[in-house]
Amino acid sequence: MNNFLIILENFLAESGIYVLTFILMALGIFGMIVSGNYMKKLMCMNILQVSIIFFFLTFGQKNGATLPVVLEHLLGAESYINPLPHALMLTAIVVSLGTTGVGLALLMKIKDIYGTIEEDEITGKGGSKNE
Amino acid sequence: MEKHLHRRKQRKKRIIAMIILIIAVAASTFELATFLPTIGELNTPANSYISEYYIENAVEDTHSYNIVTAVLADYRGFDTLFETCVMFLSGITAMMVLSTKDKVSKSIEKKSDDVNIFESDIMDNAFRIIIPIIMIYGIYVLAHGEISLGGGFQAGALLASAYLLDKIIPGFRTVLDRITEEFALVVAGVGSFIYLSTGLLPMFNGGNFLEYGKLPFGSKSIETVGYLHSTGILLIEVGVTICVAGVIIAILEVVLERTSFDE
Amino acid sequence: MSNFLNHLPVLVIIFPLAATLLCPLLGHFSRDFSKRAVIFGLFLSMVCAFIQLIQVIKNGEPIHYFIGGWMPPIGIEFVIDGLNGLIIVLVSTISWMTSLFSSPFELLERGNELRSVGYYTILCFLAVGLLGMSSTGDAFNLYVFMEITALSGYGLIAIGEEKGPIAAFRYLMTGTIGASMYLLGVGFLYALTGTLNMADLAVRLADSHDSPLIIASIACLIIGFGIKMALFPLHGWQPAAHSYAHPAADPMIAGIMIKIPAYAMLRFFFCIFDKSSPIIETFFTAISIMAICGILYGSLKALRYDTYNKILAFSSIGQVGYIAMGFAIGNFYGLIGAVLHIVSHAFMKVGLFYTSAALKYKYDIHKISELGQVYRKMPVTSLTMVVCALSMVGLPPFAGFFSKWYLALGAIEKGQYIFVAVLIVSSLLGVIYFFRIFENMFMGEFNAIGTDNPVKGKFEVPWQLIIPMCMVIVAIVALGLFNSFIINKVLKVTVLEVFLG
Repeated sequence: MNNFLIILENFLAESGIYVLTFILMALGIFGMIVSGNYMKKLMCMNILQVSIIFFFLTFGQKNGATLPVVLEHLLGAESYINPLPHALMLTAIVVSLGTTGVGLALLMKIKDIYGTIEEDEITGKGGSKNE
Repeated sequence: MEKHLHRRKQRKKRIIAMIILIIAVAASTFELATFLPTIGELNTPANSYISEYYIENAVEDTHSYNIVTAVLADYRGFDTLFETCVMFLSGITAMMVLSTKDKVSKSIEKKSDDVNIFESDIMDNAFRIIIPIIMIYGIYVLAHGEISLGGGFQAGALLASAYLLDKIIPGFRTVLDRITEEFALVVAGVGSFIYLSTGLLPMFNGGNFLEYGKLPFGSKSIETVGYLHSTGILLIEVGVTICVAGVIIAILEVVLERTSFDE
Repeated sequence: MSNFLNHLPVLVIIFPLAATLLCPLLGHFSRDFSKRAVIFGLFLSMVCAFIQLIQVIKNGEPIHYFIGGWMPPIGIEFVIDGLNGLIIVLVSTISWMTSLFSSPFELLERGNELRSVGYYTILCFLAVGLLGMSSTGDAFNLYVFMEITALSGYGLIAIGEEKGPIAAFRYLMTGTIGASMYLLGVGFLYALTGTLNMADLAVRLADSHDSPLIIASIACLIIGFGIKMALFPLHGWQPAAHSYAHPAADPMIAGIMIKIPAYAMLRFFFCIFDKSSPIIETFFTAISIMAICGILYGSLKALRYDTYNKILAFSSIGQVGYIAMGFAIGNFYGLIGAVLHIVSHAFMKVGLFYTSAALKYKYDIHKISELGQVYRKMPVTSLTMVVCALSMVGLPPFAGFFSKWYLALGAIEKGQYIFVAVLIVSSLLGVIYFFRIFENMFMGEFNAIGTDNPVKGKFEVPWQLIIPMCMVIVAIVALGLFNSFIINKVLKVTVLEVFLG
């Protein structure tokens, strides 16, 4: 068991975490295509965005480094983690927040017009009243 | 019954497809991932090229002890300007989408204001004590953005949450007036405009757009340039705070106006 | 004065941005203030764009503007060269025309003050996003502008006709996948080089052009830009979005919102990556297959519909295919053809959607079968429609002919005769679907069902609608007559030095 954990740790530390973020991304896109409920589609969209954010943050990591906040005196580049991906991803997070907000507003409007947010019922494949 | 069976069958198919997808993605990206930089290594291009410059020069250049704030608000301040605009834009888009031509639900909203649904004196009084503390904490977070962790976005969210708490306490309208969503958006637009005009000021003083070192305040000796940069960062953080608080309040008001309590 | 001229690249964006941020505040006092502020802001932006283009041509070298005074790899820079200056002029002109065009439409909704103010704010944000996308020289900054463009697009589509919210929601889903893919592609490049500046990326990628990360990155970028520009297999969102958007904003959404990602793709592929490497060649083959399928699919699908907007939307899928084909040809004439087609098709589609909006405004016409004898009642609108349609088909004095001509020249020079065949076939299909519209208009019976919306003044529609339509006609004829001037003075240096050098 212990041995297995060590192997897993090495795998994740080398490149496995990238594979995991790609799987998360693929699951997000898969969910957006497959699920019939618009709310679920929106959630999958968020999963997709979060996976991209993870991807950026992973390669900004440094071993033995700390937060990029200078406390008393500057220690040198190797002792702080890379600040650029963090700054970029703060922007990306706000953008994804804005997109989600607009998406939720659209869902409320769709619910008002059609009375449902199931794709089948809106497009009429499920045999309902709307055309 | 038949529909139920059909749905269960469909779900089973989807799970199988998902497992196949996971295996396929893992297999195809495993090779790719070995070419990506190893996690935690110090000498990868991403960790060494411009990132090193930021870490070594941020404090000297901008007098901001939080390097992420220095990158976000100064080196890449233009991105952040449009990030604030994205917030404002999403607020106004949400309101445009949701504002119906005939405001039917307004009467319902009024009713919910008068009727106390959750009546609990202890909770209300607790909230009354918490609200001023949250607001002070919000301003603390705003001012501390360049020294430690914090900044405009968090401060704006905190200020808006104080308003939210005030809003959900029934029958308590003495401290904060009710803000209409139109007014909240006006405030948000002005907040973003403060950011924009902070960027415009150096242009009258011979600098480029958003060049805080050329802000027309104080003397222009070389030692004060860092202080001018931190002044600029503070000014734009104020703008961001106002914008974010305004947008959150606007979205809240739009959503609350449409919520009907008869269900 | 010289101080003012130094700041032109960023002033082009600042004027509309200031107008749109103050829009709600001005709208608080009077609704007309906000409308005038937006129109004035976009007008100033257009003037700045023209001065900037003249400056670029006079100096003969690109303008670099360092935002915040930080030098490129550290800070964000704007790069304006001949090509990109031309695109900025195009975007700002069309934005200003559309803001003018929108004003009569808003008067129909006098009951709701808020909607008018919000409409102008979002429209102006769309212009800001497109202008930013075309001037920035930083890969991540491009993402931020792309999202601003997309968000304002969602808003303008959602407030349109009845099916608008659904079309907007689908576009939101697809558009977010596209933007995320773009960001992933940039992430690969960043992991490989550690920089985000486009010029710096090109330098630092020079010795690693066959890394698998580059392949992954190019694939992600093609998907990302392909979704944004509605390239053939990724076009799913486009027909509904272009048909159900707000009629006044539709020209901008259909005309230039799909062109600027195409321009950004051009910049990525010819400025950052090494064109001579076999990997890029393979990807260009893939793009050319997508383009050919898209051209044929769009033209054939346009034959099937009776709704005017749907015909135009499917025709756009085909026209975007032409632009992608120009990239895939990849020699001097191919690129010139692609860029000219971006410009000329923008004006043609904008003109056609102006006529569609004018028809909706006056008679509430949506289908081409209702068009009968409309030319008697609306001569200017019909003239615009005829000029734009003939230019789309590719008749010689108009702009559309010359872009197709250069594309064909490029294809012949490279020996890819299949492109020439596709070009001719799709032009013939274009003749069929546009002459179906003409047939209905000139020979059909007069049975305009909608109520006649009474209009003050001399013309069939308010003057705010007439001026943009006349400007489109002038632009199409001028682009056709002076195309050699544009190529020799504006594009030649940039294309030869920056893209093929």
